[in-house]
Amino acid sequence: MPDLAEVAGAVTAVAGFEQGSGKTSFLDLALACARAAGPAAAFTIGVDGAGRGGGSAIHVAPGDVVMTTEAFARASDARFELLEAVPGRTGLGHLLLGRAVRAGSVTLVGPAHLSTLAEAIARVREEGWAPSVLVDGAVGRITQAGALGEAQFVFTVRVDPANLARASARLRALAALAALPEAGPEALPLRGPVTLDTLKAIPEGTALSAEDFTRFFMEPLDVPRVLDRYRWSVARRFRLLGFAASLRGVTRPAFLRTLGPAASGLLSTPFEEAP
Amino acid sequence: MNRDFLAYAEFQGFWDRFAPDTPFGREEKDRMAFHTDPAALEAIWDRTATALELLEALRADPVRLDRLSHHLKRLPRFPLAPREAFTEVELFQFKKFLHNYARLPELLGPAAAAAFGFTFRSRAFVDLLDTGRQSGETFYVADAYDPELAEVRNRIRDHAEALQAERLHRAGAIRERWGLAFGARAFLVVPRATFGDLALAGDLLRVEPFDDTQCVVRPLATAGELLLLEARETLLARERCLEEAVLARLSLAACRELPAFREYMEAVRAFDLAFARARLAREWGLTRPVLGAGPIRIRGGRFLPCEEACRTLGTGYVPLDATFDTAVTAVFGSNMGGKTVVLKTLAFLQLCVQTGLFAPAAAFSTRVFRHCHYVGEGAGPGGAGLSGFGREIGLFNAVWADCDRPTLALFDEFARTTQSREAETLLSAVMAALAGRPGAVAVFSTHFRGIRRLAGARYLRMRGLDRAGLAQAGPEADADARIRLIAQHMDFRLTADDGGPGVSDALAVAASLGLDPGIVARAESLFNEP
Repeated sequence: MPDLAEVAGAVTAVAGFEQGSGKTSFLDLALACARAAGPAAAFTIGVDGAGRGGGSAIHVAPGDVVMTTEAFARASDARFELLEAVPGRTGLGHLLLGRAVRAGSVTLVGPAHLSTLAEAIARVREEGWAPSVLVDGAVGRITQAGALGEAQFVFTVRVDPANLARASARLRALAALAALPEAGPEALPLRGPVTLDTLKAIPEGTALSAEDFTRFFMEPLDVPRVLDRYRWSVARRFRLLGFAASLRGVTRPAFLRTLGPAASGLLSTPFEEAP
Repeated sequence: MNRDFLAYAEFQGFWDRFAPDTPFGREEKDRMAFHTDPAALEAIWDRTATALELLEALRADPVRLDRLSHHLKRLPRFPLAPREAFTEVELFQFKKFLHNYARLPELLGPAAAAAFGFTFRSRAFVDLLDTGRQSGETFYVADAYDPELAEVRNRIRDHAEALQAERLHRAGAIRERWGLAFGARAFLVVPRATFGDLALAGDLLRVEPFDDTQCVVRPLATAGELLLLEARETLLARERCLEEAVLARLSLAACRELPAFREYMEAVRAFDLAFARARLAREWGLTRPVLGAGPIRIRGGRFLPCEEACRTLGTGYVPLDATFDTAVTAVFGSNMGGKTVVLKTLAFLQLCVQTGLFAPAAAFSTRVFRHCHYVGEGAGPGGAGLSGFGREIGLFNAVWADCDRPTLALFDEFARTTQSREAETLLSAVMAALAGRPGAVAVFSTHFRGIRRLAGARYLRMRGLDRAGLAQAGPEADADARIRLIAQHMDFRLTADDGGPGVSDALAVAASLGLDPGIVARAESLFNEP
């Protein structure tokens, strides 16, 4: 079973399948685990974070590094030492990288461009400001998180009786895609999104290489058939650290049964207290 | 800047390699100023020469070069206009700028620092921004700025500790009663059965239904905690007030410092641009141009996009030697013989000059033009109803209108889309007209050998194809190999044109490029008919 402690010392993107999947609560918890390796840095991806406009806030400890706006930093009960002014401006004002000198809550805001975010993460690591980085990924936008460089992923998902089959299928598909091997020289490289349409003209059994596992755009139920039909690999592998599921009206054994082999990717359900 | 001329010279790719390190240099680069004042250009080149000397000296000291580059790259923009209250981010930018700027004079050395106008008189402001033993490149409204701020923050700290103690006490009670440990978790999902009567949990937990069997529980703030939180809010508001007062004080000091900052910025901009120009000059073997009123002389001129293309293709590249000492010059030559490259080389070198760069030539003497024009394929607006010929006439009209002032005009196969005799007469008339405009330098590439020979014009030709040599070479299978073969047998040098009939080697070149031999033979037969 994957361990949440592995966020310490790594760059981890937390992506959710839909709103309300528990992404921000999970991020707060992951931050506490990340601090095992020293101060942690927390970011959010572009529009999702910027659009939140004063919504969810995370809790920072002294030494943690965050990207937020000047206004949110001032309004926070935490206090920040300014490390960098991020070029450009979002709809919510000037962005900055700040290091907490006092604990408190702060709203994260992401830059408009992913490249700016990737640069900021690289800077945090290069300067030794924080060994662990957590990114609050946009809902349903794992492709965006793929632009962050050497990142591992955690997916948060809310499971209830109505979506059990579909959520399980998505997780199974994700686990299978994340397990694809790195491309060999014989594989035909596919640039951009992999869809059923792009594959129509390619003969069955061909060795294919996608850019990375986030490039597959198809229904979860189509994924196993597509993976069976070709010999797949990816140009760039990302580590899937695991899934964090919030089970509502579904028992853990029932969920594990529907997941099948993908159940090995399930993180211990972090907020669930065993009876 | 004439966009057609810029595109014809394929200059943008080279300009993109001109890479200032600071936002001030990049801002100037993005403007891509077209300089028309010779004195300004000489001043730019003097600074480039100084930067080249420094670059040369730093060859032996790579650590110093790295540090120089490190500090230049970390210089941020800062506000230029005075303001009653700068924000923390803006004060941070001032501080970060000063931290990195202050290290530059020592790294440059006294001579270069003086040449670029580096001064430093902001020690007191630096000390003010460093109050509270901060790092040189970070900024924080530290406690040390105001004793009351320090006092308020101490009380906030005390409240935080008291809150923590309250929460620990409550956590202990929760653990004791239900065995629940929240740790870093804001809530827990627990079986409903944990509580029995939910109402009894109300003093310590907020309980919400989750599903049929579980509920979500969050610790409930105690009365003591709520009182502490309320007091903390008051302290936080006071803290913000005191911080604003500190920022206002620092802003006042920053406003006093702004004239110095503007000087610093200009010194940085001048050095950054000169240093970037010097790096480009060293990397690409550029030399300082010579400005004057005399003829344009090119020795060993290199059209860098073509030189790179030749390298990729595996063919040799022949630098250009040429003199343009009359108002009008015509260049004849074979197809694929290099006429266009002659014009493009001149355009490229002239753009290097007028954008303040050194030029890729062993030597380049030229003058400063007010206007540069290109007339030929791909130029001009695509307007409805205008044919290629119509666009050319429009473009020529623009050249004609500018010719009262120094103007360089390059005509690549002007009038090629019309009937050849009419084209020759039109071209002759245009050349004669431009020869009478003392401000103009016009160069024409053309296949029309029937144009009139004017007294004040110069006629040159590319030396052209060694057809016998090409005929002896075997046929090549792929397009790149065919191009290489033609290039191997083409003499790309310019020579004076004697006015003889001449040919464009079109049939030999077409044959080499794989045109059906039957069609080539038929064309040769027709060509040789009396």
